[in-house]
Amino acid sequence: MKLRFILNGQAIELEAPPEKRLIDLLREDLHLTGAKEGCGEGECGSCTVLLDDAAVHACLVLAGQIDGHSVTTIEGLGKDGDLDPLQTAFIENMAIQCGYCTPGMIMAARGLLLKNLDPSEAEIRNAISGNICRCAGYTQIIQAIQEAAKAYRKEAQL
Amino acid sequence: MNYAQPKELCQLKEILATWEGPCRFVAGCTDFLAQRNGKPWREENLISLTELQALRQLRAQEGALYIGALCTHGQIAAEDLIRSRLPALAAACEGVGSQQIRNRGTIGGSVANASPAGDMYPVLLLLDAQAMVLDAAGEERFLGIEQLILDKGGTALQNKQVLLGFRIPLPGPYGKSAFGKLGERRVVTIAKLSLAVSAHVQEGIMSGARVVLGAAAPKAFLVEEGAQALNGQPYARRFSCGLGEILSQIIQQRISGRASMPYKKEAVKGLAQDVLEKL
Repeated sequence: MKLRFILNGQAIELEAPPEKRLIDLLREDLHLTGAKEGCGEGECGSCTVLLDDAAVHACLVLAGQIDGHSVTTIEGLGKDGDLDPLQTAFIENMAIQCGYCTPGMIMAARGLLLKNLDPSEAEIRNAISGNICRCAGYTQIIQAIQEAAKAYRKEAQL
Repeated sequence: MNYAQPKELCQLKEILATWEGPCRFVAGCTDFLAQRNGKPWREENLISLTELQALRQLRAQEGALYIGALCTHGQIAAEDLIRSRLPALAAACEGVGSQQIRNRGTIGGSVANASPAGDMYPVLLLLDAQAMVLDAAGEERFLGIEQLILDKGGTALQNKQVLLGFRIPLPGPYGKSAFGKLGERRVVTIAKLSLAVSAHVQEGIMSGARVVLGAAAPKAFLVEEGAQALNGQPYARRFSCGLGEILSQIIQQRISGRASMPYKKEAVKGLAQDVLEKL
């Protein structure tokens, strides 16, 4: 099937079996290895990407289903070589230990901040409740998301 | 493998009329791909319904709410009309999986998968919903939600029959409803037991109550004895109607041989308190 979609802001076209999973299309065909496969069944959140600006599990989307839509991966977050405020905040708050969950965690947070620039702690916890960090650094992750939200708000006011 | 992703219902009808062999319909794929994780799989005919915009709509008309089968859990939970008039449905959708699952998983997919632990069917049963079904001949018809789900599990949908959506009668201004579930975790959890309760409350008295127990048996079921215990009673005294005890006895009768029975018969008492608190 010929797939035409927007990937990280760029229109692309490629041939792929429609039944292929989006995670495999990203990692194997497009060499975007930021999204990780953890459980393969929507439990761990490490494969989270944005589909039309909503956080989804790339392991639970068929490649055919992205035709005509927009996909954003962790590779598409930064602009002009600069890190996204979420990425900066994760680094500065030491919200990364092994790093395996980080791309998914950041994309889940991005999905939240696209809808709500001033989330409460409960809203942040809810947004990342489907993302498992086995290093258990949730406190720093929540702080990082709060800090990134502040940076986005500041950016929005400029 | 044939694959199609129709954008219009007429295209779907054409596929149903022309394709031969079993057709597998998918939507959010949150169950479909999770069940196939790491296993080789093949379908003769795979039809993704995700591009059918007509099935993503949610509208109130003539005293009923029409919910397209492709409405996601997140979309339903965020809808003001549902939050105000059908809070049990909003709560059930809000409690499904993670944000990622709620962004993708659909009400139609949840019902069509007919998991005994699913959260949508118990609430649709509580709300006396009807399912809109399209058949291979292109005919649309309504089917009572209770007839859609089989007693032993699974659905009554035949090959090439598609779930288009649901019609739910909107309760009047005195209608109340609530939903609660118990799982291994507080969030992102699959129900080990769920309970949905509705009632009309006028001048402080409950009537027309309905009580549904989910995840206790292969199919969620109405508990008439529970409804009777609430009907005619003051809303302010709903905690003293013995609903938890009644549900506990029902569980002991219905799943007497199950290893989970001793847990569920006790847990349901607390769940009843929680749900009545939200009512």
